[in-house]
Amino acid sequence: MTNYILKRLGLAVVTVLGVLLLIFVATRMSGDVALLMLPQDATDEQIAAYRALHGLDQAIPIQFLNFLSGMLTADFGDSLRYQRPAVEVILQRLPATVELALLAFALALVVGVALGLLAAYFRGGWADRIIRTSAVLLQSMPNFWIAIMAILLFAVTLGWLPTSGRDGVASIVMPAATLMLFPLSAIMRMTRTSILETIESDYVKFLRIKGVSEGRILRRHALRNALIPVIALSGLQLGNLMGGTVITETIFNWPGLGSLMIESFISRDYPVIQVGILMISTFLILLNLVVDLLFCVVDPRIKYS
Amino acid sequence: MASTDMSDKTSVQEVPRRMGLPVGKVLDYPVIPVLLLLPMVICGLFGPWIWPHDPTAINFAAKQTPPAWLDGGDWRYLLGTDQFGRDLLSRLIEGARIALIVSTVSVSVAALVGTLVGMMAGYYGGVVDIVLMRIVDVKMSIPPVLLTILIGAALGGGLATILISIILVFWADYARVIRGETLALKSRGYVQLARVANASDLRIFTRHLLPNLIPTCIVLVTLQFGAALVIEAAITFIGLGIQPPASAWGLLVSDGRAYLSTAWWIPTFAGLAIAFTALGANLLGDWLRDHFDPKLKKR
Repeated sequence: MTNYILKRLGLAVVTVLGVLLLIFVATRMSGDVALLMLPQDATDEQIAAYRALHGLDQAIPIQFLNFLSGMLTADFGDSLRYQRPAVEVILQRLPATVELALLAFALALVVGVALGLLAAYFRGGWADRIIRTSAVLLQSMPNFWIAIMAILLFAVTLGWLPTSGRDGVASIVMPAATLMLFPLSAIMRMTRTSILETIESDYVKFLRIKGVSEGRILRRHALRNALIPVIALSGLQLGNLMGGTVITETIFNWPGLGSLMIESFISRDYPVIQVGILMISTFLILLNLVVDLLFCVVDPRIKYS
Repeated sequence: MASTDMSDKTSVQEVPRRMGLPVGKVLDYPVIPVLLLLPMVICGLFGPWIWPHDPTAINFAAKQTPPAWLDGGDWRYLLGTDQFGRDLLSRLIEGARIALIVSTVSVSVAALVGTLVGMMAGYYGGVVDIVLMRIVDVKMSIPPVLLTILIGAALGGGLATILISIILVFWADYARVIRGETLALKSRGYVQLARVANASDLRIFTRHLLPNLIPTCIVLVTLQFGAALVIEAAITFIGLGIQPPASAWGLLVSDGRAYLSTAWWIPTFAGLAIAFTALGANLLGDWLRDHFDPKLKKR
């Protein structure tokens, strides 16, 4: 077990390093940072000073080593646009995203598990068919389009909800509902499959032979066993959700990390993009690790290799 | 890696895994999926001969004309016009070409690269396998949209950004699936015999492995074709993809946001075009999987 944990930790570190390398290579390919960040009429001296100040005149491998050593000393560089530490800029936008993502994830979990249960319970029936059909439809309809149709209906036509911004409870309804759609169909499918597998298992068959009622089997026995992996695996859907925040926050003008990433892309604010992607990826890598380890604790049937 | 013990799952196989529309069952052929996909393919290939107007022709006299069947509609502009009086139907037809090019090119390249890498990792194992699996790990830990922002920052947005992003997102899916299948095929008798008979690696790859991997590839390609459409639209929508004055479905949805209260038909019909086409690809993929490759589980 200890060996397994150590091995997984080592792999996680390698993956984070890989992410760092990818980020570094991709962002430095984008032309001259100094020319982008200075006004059009900047003198050559200003450009040279800017390059020296930001270490842009050194060789790429040295820039990468500087970058890595900066990471180790928790110095993530300054935002080129705000002239403040990039981490500060990001942390300032983080609460809005956490608020939105947590609400959306909770919603997705409740709605997804409920629909998955319903589909499994009425397997082959019309409820199952409707739920699975809507899963395919949901997969085919772009989420950003659903969001815009929702704005058209609830904000423009009916006037019930604000079109954008982060001001009061009403303003989070549409962003959260949109973001919920990103992990929804995966959670639904996992729940359905997991419940069906449990219902087909020997111990449930035995309970049936004993004459235990179907409702009681589901409530007292099947549900507990079936939902543990679903809830754990749903944690991995947070990656999908984090990607979704970029689109959702852009549509609803939600002042979070996702819209910050787009703004930073437009202004080529390297440090902010770097730290943002690094933070989100590290979070996902750690989450993946924790989910795997929790699985080992919760389910003794799992083998380590 | 942790893996659940799957030994007691035989009875679950009887459960129909089909996620398609119930209507599809009526016929033995995927008529509905093909009908949904066909308009996009035809418009994409023959757009300039079909569109009723030049998609970029500006006509301020007819600006923001609603669809023909509504008050103030004009039958010359079936689906209405935008703020410059450009015909929406023609712009949708022009957008089909981008959708067709992006989906076809990105999915084919991803399939080629992914299949090759997956076969090599599965067949040779060792360092190739370890490196590949680490790359897959890295790719999996960056959400696709953020990867696109990263690529977009490097390339400045546009068609190349879309293609490279989708290829980078998709190839790892093939690599993982094909690697697994190759691992299983490698230990089969006929592959072992071919090795004993001193067949070259190239021959084993092309004659013994590839033919058995093709069904899996075709199913994945079809399912990813639908996903590529949606991702292309999303990338363009957030401003990293196709730039105006060109026409793409994602761009029409994004442009339409500014005119939601006065010209609702622009984002509505553009979104419907994406949804119908992607639905066609997804249903066709489901159908192909059920018919050719019952082993392949839906992701």
